[in-house]
Amino acid sequence: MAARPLVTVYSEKNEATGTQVKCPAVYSTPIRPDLVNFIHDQLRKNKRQPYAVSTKAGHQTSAESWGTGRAVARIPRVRGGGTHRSGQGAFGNMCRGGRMFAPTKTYRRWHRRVNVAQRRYAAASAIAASGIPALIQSRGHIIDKLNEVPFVISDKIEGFKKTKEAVAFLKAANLWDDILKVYNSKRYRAGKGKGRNRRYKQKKGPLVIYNNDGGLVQSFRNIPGVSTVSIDRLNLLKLAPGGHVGRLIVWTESAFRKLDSIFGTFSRLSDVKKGFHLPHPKMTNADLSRLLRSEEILKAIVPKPSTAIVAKKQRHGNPLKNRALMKKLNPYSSVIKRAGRAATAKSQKA
Amino acid sequence: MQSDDIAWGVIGKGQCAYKAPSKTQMFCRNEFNLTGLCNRASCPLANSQYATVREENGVCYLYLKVIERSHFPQRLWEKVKLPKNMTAAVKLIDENLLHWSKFVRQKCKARLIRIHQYLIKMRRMQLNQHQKIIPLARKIERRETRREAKALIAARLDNAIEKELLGRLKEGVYGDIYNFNQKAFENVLDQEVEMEEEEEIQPPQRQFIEDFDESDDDGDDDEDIEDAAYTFDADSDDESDEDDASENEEDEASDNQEEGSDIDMEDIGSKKKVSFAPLPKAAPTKVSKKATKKRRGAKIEIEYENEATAPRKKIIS
Repeated sequence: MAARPLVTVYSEKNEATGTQVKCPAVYSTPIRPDLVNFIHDQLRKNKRQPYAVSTKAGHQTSAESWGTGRAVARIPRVRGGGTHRSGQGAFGNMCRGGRMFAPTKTYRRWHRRVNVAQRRYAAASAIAASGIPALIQSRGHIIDKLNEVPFVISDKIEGFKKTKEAVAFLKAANLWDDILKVYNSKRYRAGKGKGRNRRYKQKKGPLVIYNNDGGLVQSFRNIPGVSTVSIDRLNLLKLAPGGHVGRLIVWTESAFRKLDSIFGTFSRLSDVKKGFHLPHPKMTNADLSRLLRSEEILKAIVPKPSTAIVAKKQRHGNPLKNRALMKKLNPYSSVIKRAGRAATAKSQKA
Repeated sequence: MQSDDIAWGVIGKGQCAYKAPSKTQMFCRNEFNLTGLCNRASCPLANSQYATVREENGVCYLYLKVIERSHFPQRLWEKVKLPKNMTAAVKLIDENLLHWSKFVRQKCKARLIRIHQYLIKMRRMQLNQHQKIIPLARKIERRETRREAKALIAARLDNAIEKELLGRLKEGVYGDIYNFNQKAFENVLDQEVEMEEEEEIQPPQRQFIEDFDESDDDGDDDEDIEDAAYTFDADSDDESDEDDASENEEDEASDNQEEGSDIDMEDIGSKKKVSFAPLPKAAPTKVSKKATKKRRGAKIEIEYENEATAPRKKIIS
């Protein structure tokens, strides 16, 4: 399917400027939610910090088993005397004060390497999904009153210095409802994360993608839910938070224009990503149900051959009980029966 | 790029914010959904050409969505006001959805009919003036009833009423007219007789009275070595003083009661009139009080007084 031809650029007051930008080819990338989910999963592991139990934990005793013959379990026991601790079990994961089962190690494989091509595919897919209003809505964003998808704004917002300006812009652009949703969703985290500097949880709002940061990041950063990303450093974790495609994205004009050069097209290579062009879809027209109903295909289908008319199967009767059936099969049976009847009548008379 | 099948492939099997699963079925919370169920044909997100009938403030509207406007969310839904007449409305729906899918047409009409039905019911219910059902918060109700009961007990109404009535009686509000219950009256009299008897039988009591500062010199001369051992606190002496005064008052009051009751005993036969003489002022008789003296060492003062029933009073410092 062809990409949408032209996208209108809007001013920071949400009025259509005259400019129109040709929609980049990225928006025609096949949308692969499975791939995005997998890559997101892998990439999320890369920011982890190792954790482990102390190597010495549970082993800082010179305990030895008492062996058999003492009417106690054979677990190693703490030596010496004079304290509660003496004679207590040590070392085992079942013992109090013993080492845990399989102590966690720092050399666990924390990070994952992901193929570059896959990463790029996932990013392109996520951007493509952000061009479909249905997917943006299904992800949970409120875009009822948005002017257009993809939403492109003039470069003026890159120069915003005050949060007030940013808020005014969001309200004018009818994006404020999405941010209200974020406000209303703020709640305590369940579990220990509360006490580990992860006290609150809230939903995600729109993502602002810019080219040059002339104050934009600072003006938008205090608004809850809003994320900002530079076009040169697109991040899948921001494009598809939670592994779900379809984040609400606000583009600045220069960032939007750069997309074609960053990702290339299906035929033309990218300027920035060496040797990369957008992945071809498996089907040029993916609307399967429509295809099957289309005239061209229906005409080409060979009609089902008409089957020979099969005689209606008769119900099988029992000739021994059904005299008519018996007659059909064996006409002489009636003679035999008559003779038999005559013979019995004769014997009865006599 | 934009394809319903793709959208359904993501939404149907995957994550959708509007999905509301129950044990048996998957529902769709999207307000434009025709049936309320989450399936391929009903999903307003996965169908580019879609229509619904919705009711706002009693007026029905037909909402239409076409693929041409799918990228302009603000203008996406076309709103057509349906006439109040249901047949006319059905006709209008047919006109607007002329070559649309049978499913959408049928469901829109069905939805319209249902909306009309419940609107009629609402109007009928309003005429009947239903009782307003207010939910009771169980915990709060339980708590409040218990508190009311406690407050009732704490108020001690019986005592308050009794006091109030007695007060009025003493003030003389009822004058001489008040009729007492005979049995209760006799009970009270019996009680008074018992009280008198008790008081007469009382043995002479020891009374400890405080020292007074004036009599410093007097005390020095009359020192007794024997009594030097005793040392009492000032507080206990004060208390004993008060007891002394109250005891005297009681004696006088009981004396008065005796007189009153004597008079009334005569009147029992005719009418039960009781008049209480005004309470005598508490005047402690024959007790000389001197200002307390600060204890300096073991000084002892003994005072003797001449009284008919005056018991010995020891003053010990």
